[in-house]
Amino acid sequence: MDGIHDVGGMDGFDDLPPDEPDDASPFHEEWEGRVYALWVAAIASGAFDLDEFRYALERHDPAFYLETPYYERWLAGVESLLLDADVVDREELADRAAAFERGEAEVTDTPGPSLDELSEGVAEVYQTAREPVDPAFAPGDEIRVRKCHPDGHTRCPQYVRGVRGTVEAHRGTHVLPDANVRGDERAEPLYNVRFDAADLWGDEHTDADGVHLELWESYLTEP
Amino acid sequence: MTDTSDSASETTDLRDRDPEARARALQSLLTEKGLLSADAVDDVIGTYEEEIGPQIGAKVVARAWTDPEFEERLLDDGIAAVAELDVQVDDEVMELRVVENSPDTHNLIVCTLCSCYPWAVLGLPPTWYKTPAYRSRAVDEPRALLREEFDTEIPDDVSLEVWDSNSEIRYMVLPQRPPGTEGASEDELRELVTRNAMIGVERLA
Repeated sequence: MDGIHDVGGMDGFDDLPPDEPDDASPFHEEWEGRVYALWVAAIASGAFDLDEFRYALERHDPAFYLETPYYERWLAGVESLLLDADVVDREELADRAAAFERGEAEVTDTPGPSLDELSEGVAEVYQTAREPVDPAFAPGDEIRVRKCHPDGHTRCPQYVRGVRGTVEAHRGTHVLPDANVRGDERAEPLYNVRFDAADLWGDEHTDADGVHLELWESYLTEP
Repeated sequence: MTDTSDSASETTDLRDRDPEARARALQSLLTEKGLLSADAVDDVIGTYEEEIGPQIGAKVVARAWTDPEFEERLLDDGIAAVAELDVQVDDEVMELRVVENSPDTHNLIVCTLCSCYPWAVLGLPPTWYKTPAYRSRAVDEPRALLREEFDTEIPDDVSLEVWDSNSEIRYMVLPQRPPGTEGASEDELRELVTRNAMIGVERLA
């Protein structure tokens, strides 16, 4: 979908926030770390995968997406997917949140999966490589990205669509996010493609030389 | 107006509540269902606050600078080479591609679509990496972005190659070894390597 998440090449965002030291906690508030742990547990439980999670965040209202702190957007995404998967009940979750706000609830000390078990579940979700399928393109081939604006999830950003590039490497055969998000697991050859920055943006509007992405075979066509 | 997600509207009232309370509420429900323990929450947070961070990447870079055969393996299969070192990384956690800076090429990592980051070797990303401001500009005017936001000047005769991490393959930059460090030990070299150099927004002097 041509959502607010697809920001490559857009102009007009504010300056970057201040840098943080290398040894700073990645969590600015205690609850941010808790949200990250919730995400780990939810992913590891198999309630949803990375594509479904990304798609949930992409569908957030554009104003909400831009205005809401990162881990709060993650929380909203995890909540909606766990509701969709019937892992939690909406009313129960709302009531419980209200009870915590009033200071009238606490987290019970119940055993659950260990960190190692959760990490295994997460690692599994990251393994998108599948049995090899013969690639249609080879390193050195010129290709063009299909001009296509699907309304669902895709990992083909708008800024490369319709543009000519060169296959730099074949990366094996990987699950196609566009279909996987609909529960249809299909694997395709994946390629690293390099674009001349001038072909993406026009000579006068870029100071980069090359931009590389991984693109699935069905995103590509002859030049 | 139609909403593409039923649950997006269902959670509207939750969004009015304090995220801290919502996070605790969800944690308590997942705990009751046996999906998450309080210990695991502490362990996940502790892991990313104490154990997995740029110090792992720094160790990898310092080894690559001092051991050409390791460097070759690292450039061939990043995560397998990382797992050789005494670090908390297993070789199946992610596919990692290490891209090497040279006198004529500088590399920069971004994820324009979300916030993909080589977390197994650098930890969770800093806030700026996740902002639309960084993600939008890194692919079209990276030299201006690096100059204005990081005081990093990439000379005109150095080619700038950007890697947009849009699949589950993750990228890390292998910076150039700084001049004048010929006599330095691996431990001393490790101290010179920064997170930002491994993302590519900084060059090591």
